[in-house]
Amino acid sequence: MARIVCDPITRIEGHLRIEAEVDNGKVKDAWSSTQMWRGIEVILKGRDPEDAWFITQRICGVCTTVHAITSVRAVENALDIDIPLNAQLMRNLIIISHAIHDHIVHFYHLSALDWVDVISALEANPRKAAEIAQKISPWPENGYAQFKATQEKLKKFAQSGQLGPFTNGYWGHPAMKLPPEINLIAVTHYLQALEYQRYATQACGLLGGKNPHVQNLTIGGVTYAINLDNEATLNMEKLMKYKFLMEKVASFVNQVYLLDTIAIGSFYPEWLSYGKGVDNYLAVPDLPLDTKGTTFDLPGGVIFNGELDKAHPITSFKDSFFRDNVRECITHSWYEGSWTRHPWDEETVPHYTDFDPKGKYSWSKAPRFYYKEKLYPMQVGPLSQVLMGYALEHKLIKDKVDESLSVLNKLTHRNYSVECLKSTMGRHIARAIRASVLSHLALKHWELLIKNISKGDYEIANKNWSYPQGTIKGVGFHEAPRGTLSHWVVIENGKIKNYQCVVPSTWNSSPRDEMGRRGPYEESLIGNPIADIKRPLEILRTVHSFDPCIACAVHVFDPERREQVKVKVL
Amino acid sequence: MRSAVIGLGNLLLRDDGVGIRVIEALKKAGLEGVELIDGGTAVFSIPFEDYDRVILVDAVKLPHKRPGEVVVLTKRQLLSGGERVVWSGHSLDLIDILKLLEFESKLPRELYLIGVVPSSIETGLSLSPEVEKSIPRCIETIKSLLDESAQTQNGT
Repeated sequence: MARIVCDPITRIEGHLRIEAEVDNGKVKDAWSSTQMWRGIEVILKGRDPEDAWFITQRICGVCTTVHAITSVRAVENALDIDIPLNAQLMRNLIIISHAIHDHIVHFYHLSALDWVDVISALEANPRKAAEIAQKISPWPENGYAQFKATQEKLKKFAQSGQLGPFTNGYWGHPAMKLPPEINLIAVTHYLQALEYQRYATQACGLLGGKNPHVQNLTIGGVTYAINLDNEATLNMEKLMKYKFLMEKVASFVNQVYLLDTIAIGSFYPEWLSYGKGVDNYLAVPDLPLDTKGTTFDLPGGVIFNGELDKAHPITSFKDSFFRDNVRECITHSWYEGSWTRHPWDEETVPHYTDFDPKGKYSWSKAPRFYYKEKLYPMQVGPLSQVLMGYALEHKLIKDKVDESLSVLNKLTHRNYSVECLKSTMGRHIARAIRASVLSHLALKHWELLIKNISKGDYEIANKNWSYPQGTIKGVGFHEAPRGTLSHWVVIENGKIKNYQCVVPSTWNSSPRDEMGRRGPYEESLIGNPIADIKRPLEILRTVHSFDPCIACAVHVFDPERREQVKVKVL
Repeated sequence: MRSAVIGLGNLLLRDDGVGIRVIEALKKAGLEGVELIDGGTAVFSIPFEDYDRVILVDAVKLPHKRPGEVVVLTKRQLLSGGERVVWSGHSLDLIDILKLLEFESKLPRELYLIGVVPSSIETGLSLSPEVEKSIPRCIETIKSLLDESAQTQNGT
């Protein structure tokens, strides 16, 4: 039996360390440890609740807007106020464009190279690549010229003895299985994705006032005035530009991204069964369609033990099923004590001891869902929302899943059902399905906003409220790109008394709980094959499929990059 | 010539936020003819391609320098940043983004990084006194870089 440590597993988003026991070429046990303490909650104590969204969106450089949105929702929930429809829809357009940007970047730039061998693309026949790509998709940029150009660039770099952005990678690893032509197609789309994710970012900036960090939220709505003829406000020109950009992004998502995940998946059928992990799923509803947050365009709910037919929906911002049943456990986390509590009743007192797999071993707390006197570890992320939509017969999601499965079955000559999404590769396909659903909803919500404005409704914020004396509590949730994000606030006499962020990657990267049950990353690694113990690509594949974001790391620029990724075989 | 000064860093980690503090100070000083961008830690969302000249400002780890010291790194120094062992694209950072842009021939013609050596990168909103004091020097350096390249521009 060998023990391997991968540290750190992510860089831009913070530090994650995975320790795994490998026996007979398979992972037998695993421990997920977050290596960075986030003391954001402590900064917020005693502050004006209006500061919270501005500060929390700085937690992370990848998920900027999501914390801002969730934070205003938490305070609005505590105040029990309605939000003007324009503000809901503008927020929705921000949420959608940001999420699509995030999903594209995650697949192409942060995880595709776990599956795609860049060096092998040098051997591809670009003409054959064009034939294959054109058979799968009508995408106009799938021509011989595009594939040839990518290959020439790669050759130029390879001849100079270095591969520029592709210098580092597990090239030639025995677990890499794509034919050269598919590798060339994927690398070409990797480069195109860089351009299309930017269109989504630009669209987000048009509505958010500023990117990367949105600027025009406020408790009660948004601060971006609407006047269709005024240059300084949200006007028709900006709205048309949003639509123009998102239409371009939608075509990339539907004709490239979604099909790439399915096509790559078809070459790795074994990864449609590895990596299932925890079979409980949590998603929250999002994209509200009314001022109170009771109807939504994205479904939410809870699935236990993989039983889709017994899914429990979550139906409003005030749903007590969610509000009352989230817990966090610190038995195995570096905090003082050993409790399991509701977020409103938590405290954040760090207490670092060494890495001890039997004791405390992570900065991440262990979020759990309380149901019928039991605590459940939950998987969050696009897969959870897609499964929830499938279970609740959400038309857009169900159609997209069925359509994707039929492409997959055609390519593989197999008969996969929705169950295959519960896997390492399935999580990538589910994320692309969600991006596709979002790309349709972008245009729908754009139309809803235009329709509402043209009725003569220019209201953007509800400011008819004040903080009461005494204590109020609120929870805000948002289905962020990485899954269910919730902020929990306790306000006393108008000041923040307690603030807790329960973030998607905490649900997924959670250590064991008081009952010793593994978190989703840990559980999903069990049984994964390891072809080369010194280059554990398979561990990366499974952990990356969750889109880990261990909320923002120190970003200090290190010109010598002393901070190296280490793989230790113990 | 389109120019931008882009501050990078995390405002919640004390001196790591110095790049953004410099942008705030430049906005107050009313620097003209150049776009001032608070890039936060979102290296992916920065519109490098839109500019011919980009000056980045960030905290920089340099073991032999004192906290608060200001250094200028050139494009070549940035791109030659030590090779490192990573396992996959999941570990992209600023250098990787710059290399990607280089691969795509989309790097700004002029590119500098003004680095400030941090004293504390603990959780907190305030800069350390040493780094706070370095802000005027950062601004001077930025202005002289902008002047210098404007002169070269006129001379050619």
